[in-house]
Amino acid sequence: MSLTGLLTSGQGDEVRDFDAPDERPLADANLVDTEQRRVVKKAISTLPEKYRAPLVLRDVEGKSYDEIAAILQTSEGTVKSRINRARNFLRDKMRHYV
Amino acid sequence: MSGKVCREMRREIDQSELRQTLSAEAEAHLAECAACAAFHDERFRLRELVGALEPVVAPADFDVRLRARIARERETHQQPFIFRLVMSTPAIALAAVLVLVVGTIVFMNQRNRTQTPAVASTREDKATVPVSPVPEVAVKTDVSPVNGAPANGIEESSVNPSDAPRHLNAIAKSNAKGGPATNAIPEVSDSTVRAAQSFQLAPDRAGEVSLSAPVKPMVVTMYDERGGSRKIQLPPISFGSQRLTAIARR
Repeated sequence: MSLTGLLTSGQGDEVRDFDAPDERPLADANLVDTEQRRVVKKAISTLPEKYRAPLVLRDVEGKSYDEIAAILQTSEGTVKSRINRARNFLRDKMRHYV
Repeated sequence: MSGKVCREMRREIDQSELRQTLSAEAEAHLAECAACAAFHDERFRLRELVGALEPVVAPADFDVRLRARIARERETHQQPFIFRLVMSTPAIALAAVLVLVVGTIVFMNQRNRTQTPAVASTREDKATVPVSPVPEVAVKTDVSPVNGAPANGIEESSVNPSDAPRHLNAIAKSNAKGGPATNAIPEVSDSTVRAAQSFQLAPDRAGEVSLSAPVKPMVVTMYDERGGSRKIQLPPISFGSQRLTAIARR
């Protein structure tokens, strides 16, 4: 079915109203998302390197624990521990956003 | 609710995937424990925020650039030690300081060399007949002064004042003969810049000394046969023709 067909009647003479909903996010929602991303980036950048790397690999890149352990050349238990500590750091830094 | 059970549940929450369904035991615990439920919500929100960040993607040429940089680093390490030492920053800074010091020394030497004394001095011209100053510059003593007394500006150092008339400057003799020979006068430049070439012995006239008048005062030291010496200070001539003459002869 074409858009022209929806807008016209069966006889092709009468034009009907077609009100398509605007599903785009509101401007203020975009602004809030942008601000949140900026704050999260800033908070992550303040983390120590040994905590920042496993957190980014896990929560941003979505890698598994054994992959992260292989990348960072450390044990899986260390990776889990460091991710837990990194999340606690982030929670303290982003108390107003979480 | 015991702390050990809560720790176990929180560990499971922490290690689970973001939207993964927890075990039935964990779900039951969350329904009973408000603290663990709050922890679950907090972690879920935090991971959502972090997960909303765009992953960093390496550029397409990253691999090529990385290999090129590794190769460049390897070449740098393969260069001889002396080359790396010379091209290092401290060596360049040291060389710059060295150049600065040498340049300052050369500049100071040049500056001292170009400075002229306040009183013009006489010097033998290299182009004239090389003679030692003591016997040759000694002035003839048979010329009498104008009034039989020492001329104004004559200072006696080691000679009896009564003998002063016998030691006259060559200028007096040359003036008495009608002025210095024109071919004996060297080219005179500004004496504030260069004091040389203001004194010359005439090779064809023994004992005659020609002095070109400088702009600054001139001190002439004369020695006689007894070892005495006198200094005569000649005031600068102010009519200004000597400079014009020197320029015209060039």
